[in-house]
Amino acid sequence: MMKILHNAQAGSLESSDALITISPAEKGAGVHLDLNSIVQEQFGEQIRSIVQEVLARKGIEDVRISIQDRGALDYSLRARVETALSRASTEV
Amino acid sequence: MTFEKNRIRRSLLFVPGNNPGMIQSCSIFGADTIILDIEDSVAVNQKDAARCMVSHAIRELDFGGAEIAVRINAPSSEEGIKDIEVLKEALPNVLIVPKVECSGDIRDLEKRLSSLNVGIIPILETPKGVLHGEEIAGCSPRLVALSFGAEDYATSMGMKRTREGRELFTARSLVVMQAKSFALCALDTVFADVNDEDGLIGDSQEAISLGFEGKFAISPRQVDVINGFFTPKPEELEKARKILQTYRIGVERGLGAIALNGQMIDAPVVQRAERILSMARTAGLLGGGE
Repeated sequence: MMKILHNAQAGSLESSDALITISPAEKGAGVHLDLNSIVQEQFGEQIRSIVQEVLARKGIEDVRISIQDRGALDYSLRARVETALSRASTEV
Repeated sequence: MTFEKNRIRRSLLFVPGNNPGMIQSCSIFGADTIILDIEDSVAVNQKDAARCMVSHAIRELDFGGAEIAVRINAPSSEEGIKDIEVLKEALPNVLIVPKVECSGDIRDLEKRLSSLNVGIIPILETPKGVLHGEEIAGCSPRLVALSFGAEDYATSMGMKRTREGRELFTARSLVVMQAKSFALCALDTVFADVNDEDGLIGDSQEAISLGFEGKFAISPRQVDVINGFFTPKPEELEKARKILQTYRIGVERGLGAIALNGQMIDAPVVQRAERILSMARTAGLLGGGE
């Protein structure tokens, strides 16, 4: 199981990408997702679902996630969330 | 994924592994091979992000009929070791391995790959690598081609690069000979100035004349030019057909030698004609049965 130790980011604000910011949350706080997307109306639910899928796979229950999406496809969203989580869980 | 040893590789397009916009659109440019790059086009502090992006792209995207390759970091480096571990779960058709200098570099990589079904294309881009090309070309059944990298080679040699690339003649010729002596495809270096189409044309002509069968591209706009050069022209195809037809007639009549328009048709001429037909077949220029 992955443990979020500190703030971390992955991705960019380029078109077709997303900038993901991860912050630790207290035990029991749950997942707080702040989504800002250019396609929020059409794909907001799908983006949230992908984030939840990645978090479940990594066994993370308490975390704060901010997503600034610029039209990232599912594969790149998964990659960016995974990278940000990995960076946030690495001892520095 | 699996690898095909003899597939056509006219153009091999490098795509930065940390750029999702380029990755998801790269298959529309017609490159025979797409190289998702985790090496030189990725900043040192973004290697982890590129590895993850490339891994998801391989598993989730449809690249059409293109061969998928990944240029990893030097396999013995810390980043290269991580690249290989991640790619075991998202295997491309081929690994492009930079700065290979001896057969031991490939053998060490093979130990880590274990039984995974993946091809290897070494890039010879140092004087030592070019001099050891023969030893490298014969060291593994996973090798599908030998390739030349001019920029690092020129730097190592202290060469001044020119637009015409005359300074690369010896190294390019050696790499082609080394590849061909082991029946491998020979792939030529990038042409670095993406705004100089005439330069790319001249460089591709030189590559063809030396015996290369494909060329790396660093921009989608180079792909059409390269594909055009490495695909047989209609007149070349017609000439190859006539040569083979004449040759068959000679064989049927029991003639030791036969001429076509004054040109002696001997074994090397026949082999070149067969190769042209083979390339045309793979490029989809021939009808069924030919």
